[in-house]
Amino acid sequence: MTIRVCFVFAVFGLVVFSAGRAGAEPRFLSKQYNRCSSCHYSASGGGLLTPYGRALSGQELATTRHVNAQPAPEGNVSGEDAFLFGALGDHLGPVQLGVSLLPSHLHFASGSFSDSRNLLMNADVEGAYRGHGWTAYGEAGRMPEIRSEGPRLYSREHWVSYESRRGVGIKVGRYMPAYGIHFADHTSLNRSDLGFDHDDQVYGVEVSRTTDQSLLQISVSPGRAESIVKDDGGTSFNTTGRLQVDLASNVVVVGSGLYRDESLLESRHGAAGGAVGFAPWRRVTIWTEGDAHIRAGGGGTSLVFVNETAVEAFRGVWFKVSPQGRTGTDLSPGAFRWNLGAHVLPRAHVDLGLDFYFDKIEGSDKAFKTVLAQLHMYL
Amino acid sequence: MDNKRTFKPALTIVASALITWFVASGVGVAQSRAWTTTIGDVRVTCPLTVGGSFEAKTTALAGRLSVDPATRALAGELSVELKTLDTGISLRNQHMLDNYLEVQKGEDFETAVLSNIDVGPLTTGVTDGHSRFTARLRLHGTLQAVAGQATMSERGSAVRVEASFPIRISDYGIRDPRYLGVGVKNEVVVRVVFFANKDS
Repeated sequence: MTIRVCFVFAVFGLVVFSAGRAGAEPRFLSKQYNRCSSCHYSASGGGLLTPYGRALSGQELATTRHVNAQPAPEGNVSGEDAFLFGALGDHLGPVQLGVSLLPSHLHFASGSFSDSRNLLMNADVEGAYRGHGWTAYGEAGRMPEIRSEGPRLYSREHWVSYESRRGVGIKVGRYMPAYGIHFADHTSLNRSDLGFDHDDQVYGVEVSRTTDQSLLQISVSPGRAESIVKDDGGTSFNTTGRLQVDLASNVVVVGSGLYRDESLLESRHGAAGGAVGFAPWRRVTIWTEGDAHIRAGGGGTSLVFVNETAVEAFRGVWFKVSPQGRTGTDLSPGAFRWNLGAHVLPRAHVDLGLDFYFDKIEGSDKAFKTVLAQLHMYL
Repeated sequence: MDNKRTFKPALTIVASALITWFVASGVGVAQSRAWTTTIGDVRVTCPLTVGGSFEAKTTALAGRLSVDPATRALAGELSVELKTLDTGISLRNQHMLDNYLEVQKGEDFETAVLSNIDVGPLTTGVTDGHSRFTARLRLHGTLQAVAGQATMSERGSAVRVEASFPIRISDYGIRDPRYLGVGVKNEVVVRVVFFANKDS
């Protein structure tokens, strides 16, 4: 592998395609879901589905199932929608479990160089209990190979939260701090430079305030979880803030900020930005985010732009186009990416995805092309 | 003579206010001939117990209104065929119509009807301003008084009319909408919007 290709890998985080945590789907704004918390236990999206999210996946999102055919009975999820296709019946009581598997095939090429690899991005067991305002949440699974590290068992998230009837909440544990738009593609440029594409969870405390029209989340943390666990010198104070305002059920505005103090591995840095989500029609969602990533120690300021336009051409068949760009600094060149994707949801909890990435680096004539095929099974 | 001078401008204001309602229904009185309805819709904003909200929408707004010389309220009614309400996904539509609005129970459940509509005194002008809005709403076979705000604004040759009012769904005997841990809060907001063009 040439030095230039290695550099492109580093810039785009392509080596960490294997570290993704699938599940967040902001494209469902077109179905008037302007909060992640309807379908996910985490208000930041992704991870274990709530019973409502499970039912929705089968009854409403899958191509070959329809709500009139076999609606989920009131009070519980059953059949294909349920954990392990309902094999355990009601034996789990209020505890919800899920298994997330994400086998993938990655092919990339630049000039005369090309390579392919098969990956098992995710193999996680997720569980949660919710009652009386409390939620206990945990995930355990296989951490895939990242850079020089081999796969190992670990828990990506584990936290406890409480939300009052007035919408004031607190969360403690290991979790993904809220920032910007949590696109399903975790390599989106709005997050990749912030450490939110890999090793991204923090140990910390998050306070939140939920109203009918807004969601405020503020997180403080002594550092990223993996740095704390490994004691690798990367531990430093982290804080993030995110305010979402729902102007309508199909129009959302988001403002975010991040500050991360200096560590032995990284200089002090932060980010601030805004995003708008708009669903002009019931099958079209358009998200646009702009951020300024600011890094001390001569790192300069990089401006980031990400747009994702998703269209449901047919029930359960989605296409997306996502232009993304980042201005260069003295330390890193600018970059521009075209991401085209197609996703098919044939049955409950099955998502077949095919994405194409076309990356151009400032100062380089050659493009970097990546094809990613994924099968996400959520049992 | 004095009575005529004070009565005439007042009558003009009230009549103009009524015209904006006539256009929603294509009323056949003399004043309504000056207006044509172009777009009309009803939106019900339903806040969720987990945060956020969704809208149930329809364009099936119909009815007839006319001047009631005895009162300030409008005679006649506006009705909405509830089966045309759309929340964007069929699962939610089915639950809303079958389990909560129970449209299968008969005529009184199939439509929502606004009657005794009173737009009150207009604060500014004829087709541009705000006013208090009161009416009676029959929903789920139950009749209740509602109150809110009405706004009219000039849009070129057209007038945009918007009336909104909150309702508590428990007041109408509708059971608590809840499905697999996600529910609709008790108070929802109804908004009626339409545009009308002045005929030449």
